[in-house]
Amino acid sequence: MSRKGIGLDERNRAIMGKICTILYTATIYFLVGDIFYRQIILHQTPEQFEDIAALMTANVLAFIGLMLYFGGVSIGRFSFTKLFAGYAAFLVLGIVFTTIKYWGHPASFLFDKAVIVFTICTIMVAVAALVGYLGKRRIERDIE
Amino acid sequence: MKTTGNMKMKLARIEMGLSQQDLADQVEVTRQTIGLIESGNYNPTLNLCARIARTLGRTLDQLFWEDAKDE
Repeated sequence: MSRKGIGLDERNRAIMGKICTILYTATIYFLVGDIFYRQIILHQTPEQFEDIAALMTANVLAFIGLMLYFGGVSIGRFSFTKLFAGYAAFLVLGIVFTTIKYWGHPASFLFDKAVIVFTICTIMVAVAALVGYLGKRRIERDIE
Repeated sequence: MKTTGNMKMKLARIEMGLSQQDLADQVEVTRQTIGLIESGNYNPTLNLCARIARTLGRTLDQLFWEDAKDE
């Protein structure tokens, strides 16, 4: 690949990619640490740092989506069993987390929260499956 | 493991009367990249290998294939 833009060649781009990957991972971990720090040390309520949480969630979801679409992760052979297992694990984790978080509230309140978790999990897994499928189709088309 | 570098590429470049900078300009990479390939500290992509081979008038085998006795 030729040098474009600011004169980067393939070696420069590979180094830049590695550094960006390391710094991206570090940033996500620091943000998670920041959220814990605000919650545990500063005793802030989730509403006071929901902007950071929202940014981080959007960022991680975009990361997973782009990895799936551009073939950054091996999807392998598509299987409904694997997809359903992942979805079920995601759902169970979400419901357990929500139950622990809102422990002590009435059952109807917990049920309402579980419905929200179910809806969000379903949408996220459906979008991830769709993006993964589209990415795989794009790669197959490029191969042909 | 310490690599011995790519002497074949270096010799081919010198035979062609090219400096590292000349070769780098022709294959559109930096001089440092050429230096690192010749010293065995960077593995170029196949595309770059092909461009270097074409520029130096050699085949990929002649420049980049290592026989067992070379290793």
